[in-house]
Amino acid sequence: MVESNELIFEVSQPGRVGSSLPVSDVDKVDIHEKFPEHLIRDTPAELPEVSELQLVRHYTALSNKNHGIDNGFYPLGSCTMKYNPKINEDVARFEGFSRIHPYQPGETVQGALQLLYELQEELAEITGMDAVTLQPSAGAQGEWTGLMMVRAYHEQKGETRTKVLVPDSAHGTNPATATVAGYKAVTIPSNKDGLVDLEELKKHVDSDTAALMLTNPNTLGLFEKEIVEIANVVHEAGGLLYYDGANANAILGKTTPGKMGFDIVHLNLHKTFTTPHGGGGPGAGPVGVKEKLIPYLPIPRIEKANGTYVLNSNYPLSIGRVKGYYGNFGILVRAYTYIRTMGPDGLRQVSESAVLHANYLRKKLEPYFEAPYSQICKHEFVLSGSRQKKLGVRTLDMAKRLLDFGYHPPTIYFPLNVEECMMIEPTETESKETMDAFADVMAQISKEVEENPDMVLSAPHTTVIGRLDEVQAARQPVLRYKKEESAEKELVKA
Amino acid sequence: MVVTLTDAALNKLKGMDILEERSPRIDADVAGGCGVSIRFLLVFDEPRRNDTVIEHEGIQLRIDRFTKRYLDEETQIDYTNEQGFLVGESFESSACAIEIE
Repeated sequence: MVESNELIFEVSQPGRVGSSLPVSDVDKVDIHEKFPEHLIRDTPAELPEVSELQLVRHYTALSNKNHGIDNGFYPLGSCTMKYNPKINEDVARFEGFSRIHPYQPGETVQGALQLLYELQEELAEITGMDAVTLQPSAGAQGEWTGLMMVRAYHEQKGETRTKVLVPDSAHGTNPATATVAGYKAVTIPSNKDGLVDLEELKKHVDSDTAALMLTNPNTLGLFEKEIVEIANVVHEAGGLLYYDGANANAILGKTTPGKMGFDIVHLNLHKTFTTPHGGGGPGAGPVGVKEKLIPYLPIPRIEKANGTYVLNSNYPLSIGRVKGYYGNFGILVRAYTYIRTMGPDGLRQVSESAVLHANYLRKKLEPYFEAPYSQICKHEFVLSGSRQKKLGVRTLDMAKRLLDFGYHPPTIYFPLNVEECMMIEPTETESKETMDAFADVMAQISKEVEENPDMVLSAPHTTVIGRLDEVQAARQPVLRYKKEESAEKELVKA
Repeated sequence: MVVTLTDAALNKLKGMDILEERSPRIDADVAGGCGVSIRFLLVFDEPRRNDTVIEHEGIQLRIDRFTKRYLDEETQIDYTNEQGFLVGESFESSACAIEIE
């Protein structure tokens, strides 16, 4: 197969079309009569002109260059890149789910509403919460929804609280969410074991504290053993506890945020619950709350009354609607399918296998890389490239080298409190053989750093495009194709 | 590539007791997560393999290969009492320039 790296604009030929339209039987309209002159283009838009076959080949070739969980190992820590079972896709395509409209009367879509209701109940049980909204369309929106409920809760009590506490190992979205929700984000440092420093926390908790946002296990893959005391400290000051459940893969069926003392939880269905991940969505970030926060949940809420499923907007204290209709319905169908096919025992097995796999791979890699935290981890772990840094090779170089072996690199340089960090999450769906092969490649790269560093420093070697300059890309992003510039480049090449 | 030291930076470095295992280095500090961003710092640490060493008025500065790849064509090191050493792109007329191959 001949592989083309041309842009769709470069394939374009004037006058070539990919479709034919029937002759219009509508009278022509003079655009100058209908629109003000300053809104009318001077020149036609430079849209690509290609045949249907060229179009199909172009985008199929692009898709073949992509890396996804279906074509390779993807140990991107904190992102839970696990296999998405194909049965989820089958069920989402059932006509009863795929060919309905959100404006249909409730009595004609009882099956869909039943699915949403049951998913709410299942997620409430999994998280130990009392009620769940399915509306938020991703984790970050779930966080924002949660903090808007925090604000409404305190305001209803006549209190104005100004700050949200966030550990330094938190997801970057946590302080961002706190800021967008109108709070001051205050960072709490970790202790030497990578856990929340309880004494530091106590110094910052006061009557101004609206909430503490926490991930448990945290982004280092470590379980916050003092979580009950942490919860007590925050609650005694009148604050609420927010659980960032983006990564719930280690707790399924083992424990719940509710048991740990949390008041609010969001889940990323596109991580733990096997709905498609990345590419800009759609995702889903349901939010669960304890009873005291139920009045503030988004509306409409899906409820069951006298054997019928109904939409109820009669909640005057609600923060309102946070998403069009009832959330990303197709994604919710997939997550429901996953939960029902796995069952309670299956979900428990997920977290047990995820934790076992992470610890297996951690022990396989520890001889080659520094391990800043050597205790048993949960679903993911961090290593440091500090040893390789002394040899003049960075974690970013090693991540690029992994591409040559067909692996997506781990998450790198996050969390920020680990030097030259690699954050690795194999997930429960990978085989021992895959993890062994990945560990062998990591060992080889470690050896190359010592014996042949140029091989790593100049990686990747086998990809369509070689080493990119991320710094220049960030400083001088070229986001728009211009025909003239492209032609100039051709002249320079000639 | 040109590295310049302002008078303030040069004087500060000259006044410091610099040891081999804690010598000054222009270093790329990477922050990641969903994307990767790089900023440049002046740090004091041990030599790394294949460091480039540049010297001006007896002051040696180290740069590793990774940092050299990303460093701006024109880089200035300044010093203020409030912020310490600053590595950036802006220039002062009193700066001393070192060209790196």
